[in-house]
Amino acid sequence: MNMTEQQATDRLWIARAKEGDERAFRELVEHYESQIAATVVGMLGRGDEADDVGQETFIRFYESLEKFRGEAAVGTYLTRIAINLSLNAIERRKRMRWRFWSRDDEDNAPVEPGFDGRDARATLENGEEVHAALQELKPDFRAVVVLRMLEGYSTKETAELLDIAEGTVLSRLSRGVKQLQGIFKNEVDAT
Amino acid sequence: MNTDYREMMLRALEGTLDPAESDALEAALARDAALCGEWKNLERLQARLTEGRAQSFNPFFAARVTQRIHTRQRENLTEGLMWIFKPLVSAVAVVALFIALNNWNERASIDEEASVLEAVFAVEPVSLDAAYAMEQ
Repeated sequence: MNMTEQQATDRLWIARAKEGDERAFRELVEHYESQIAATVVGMLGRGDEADDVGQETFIRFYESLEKFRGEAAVGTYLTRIAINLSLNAIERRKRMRWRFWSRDDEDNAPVEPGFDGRDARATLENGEEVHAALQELKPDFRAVVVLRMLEGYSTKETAELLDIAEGTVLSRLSRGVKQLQGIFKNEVDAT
Repeated sequence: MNTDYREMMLRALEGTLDPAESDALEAALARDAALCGEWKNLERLQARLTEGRAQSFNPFFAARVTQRIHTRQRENLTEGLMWIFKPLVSAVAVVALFIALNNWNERASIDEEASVLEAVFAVEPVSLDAAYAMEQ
């Protein structure tokens, strides 16, 4: 199905969903699940939290159906919601960890949960490895890498989605890529 | 210079180089082995990320989304009703208090022996004397 056909199908599904057709909305969810899963799991790693954010993405979309005018493609609109909710979830995680962190241990500030080390990495499948390696990137860099390299958005589209300059996208991408190459290189060296 | 080529390589991955940039990058890759190695690493990383990309959430995702929408709608309805009726609660309490005081005053003038509850809720007395009185 090409882009125009997909947009026509989306419009049909949305029109029917607005009229209360639950099956039409389900079709939409099923169609875009893989795209949103790539974004959210890329940002948060696999688990209940990612599943929860994925659900919330579609619920927010459902709640804004009446306002949706179709200026942006459905996939892009959903991705924007997903990336914002993922960044919020990361922020929430960080706050939670700080709350439970003893003030005496400020030098050992908590980092996001990622890989515990090479031994754990060796037992993972490629998909899990990729997501665990992504968790080691700073959230801002991760968002750029996910949108550009997993989702295939262009630099311009990524800049628009994240509301940052194109130059910032390229510099974050460059640093993110370098870090990922370092992670995977260490992993190869370790095996 | 290398920074420019790195940026060009990133843009080459997304296919947004114009022909002149593309030619320049190709020439640079042909003459610089280190840069060529970087390009290969970049392509490998892109392939690895694409291959490892998540395809789905946990099973029955769409069904769980619609289920959660239903739950959210029920919660919204309850919250809406609460929002409507909450301001009425204090008004209703004032009216109920007024009625109770009124009942208490009237009862006191009719039947001095009525209990507080009987008086406030204007319940008919249930004593034997009262029952005989009602018979007559």
